[in-house]
Amino acid sequence: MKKTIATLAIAGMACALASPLVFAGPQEDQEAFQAFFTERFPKVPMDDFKNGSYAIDPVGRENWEAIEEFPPYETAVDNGKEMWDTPFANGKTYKDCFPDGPAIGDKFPHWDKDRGMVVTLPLAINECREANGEKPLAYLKGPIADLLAYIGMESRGQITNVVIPEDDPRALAAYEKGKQIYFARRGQFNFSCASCHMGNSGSTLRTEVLSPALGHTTHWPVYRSKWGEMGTLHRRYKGCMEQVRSKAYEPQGEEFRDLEFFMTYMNNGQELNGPGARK
Amino acid sequence: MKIHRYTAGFLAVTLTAMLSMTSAWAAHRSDAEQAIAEAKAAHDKAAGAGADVTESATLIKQAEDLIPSRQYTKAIDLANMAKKQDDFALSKSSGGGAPAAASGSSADAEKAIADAEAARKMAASVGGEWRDTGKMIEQAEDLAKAGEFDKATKLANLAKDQGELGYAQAMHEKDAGFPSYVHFKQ
Repeated sequence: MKKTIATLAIAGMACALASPLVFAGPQEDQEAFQAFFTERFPKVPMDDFKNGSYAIDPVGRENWEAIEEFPPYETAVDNGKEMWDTPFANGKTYKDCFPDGPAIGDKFPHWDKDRGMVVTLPLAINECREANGEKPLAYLKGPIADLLAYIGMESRGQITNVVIPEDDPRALAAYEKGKQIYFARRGQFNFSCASCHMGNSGSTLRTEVLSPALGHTTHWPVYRSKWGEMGTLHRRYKGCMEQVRSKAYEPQGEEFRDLEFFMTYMNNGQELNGPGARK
Repeated sequence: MKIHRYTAGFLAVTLTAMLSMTSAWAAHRSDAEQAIAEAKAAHDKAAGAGADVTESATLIKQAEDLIPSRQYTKAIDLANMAKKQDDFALSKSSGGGAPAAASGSSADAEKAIADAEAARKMAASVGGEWRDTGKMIEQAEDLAKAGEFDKATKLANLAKDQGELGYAQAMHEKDAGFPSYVHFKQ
């Protein structure tokens, strides 16, 4: 009898321990992800994580606040506005593709059920251009970053709210693929995104403070001092992958779009504050 | 910390002398231009003998394109590689065999490069290709074309290792998820 009770108790404990692993879905992932950072940085208010390493590096923050007095992305915003307002050769404008625009930052990325894929804002912009007889823009920098800067500025204050539709298992599969990409070690240095931006967030790598992943997707595109120009989120993805000596995926390819889908979902609730200025 | 007068003077003299010695190790524009000129001469000679000089022409153009941005050392490396390739191509086309500097077997180099490319593709098929593998294979090909078969083989073998490691790494990480230090509510 005692042996039976002990066996049942052990089996019950095993089930209880295993159950989070069996049932953890995106919502549970997101809660655990955000809780990790609020516990790691207890003094950082939730609405400050959108400022990246400047939420945890006081000296960097002082410099950044001084830079923000005359933001280096202002020219990009002006250029982007001109692009938005200038009709295509066929007379249509971006507004015809994005009737709610330009404040559409919170609508991307999203799952497109009809096409069975993640759609990001830069992808949608180029699809709009091509549909109106215009050449697509390069995805890493240049005019697309200007247009994204304008849209980002107009979208400031919106709240990240990526939805994974429950009635389409492909959306969950894209989320899981993005999650796998995020946590997979890669490259000759065998680092994952999480190696720096979760487990070592707040640590110093060479001269820089590693930013927490919470808040990573809110402030794009970015004027990065290292680049001396604007750049997109996928430009940074590419740079990060190459820094760990991995061959980077294609900008706006399926892998990076799924990665953006996962990361942005993890940042649900964070306020959009692009475009940004970073080192 | 007070620096003694003589120490300060010694430091000043030494540093000034070192400054003037930078020309001993820094590549000058004239060095790069000379290397390119020599490469072009070798290129013309090889082309005149009917050798395949397409690859070296690309290298010479790449070297020339680096001059405006003052990447003289890299330009010299590219020009020298182009010259080696054309010298080797010329010696082959004139029936002279590999130059004296060539060592190793071209068959070994060819096999090593093919194996490296196969390993690279294997890694790429699972998203595990490393950043430098493709470049290493290209460099091995350049070395083989210059008759430096030993070096080509060694470099290709390193590239093959990278391809194999990249594949193993990607397969190991295919189910990657949240690390154990992230806690979920129970």
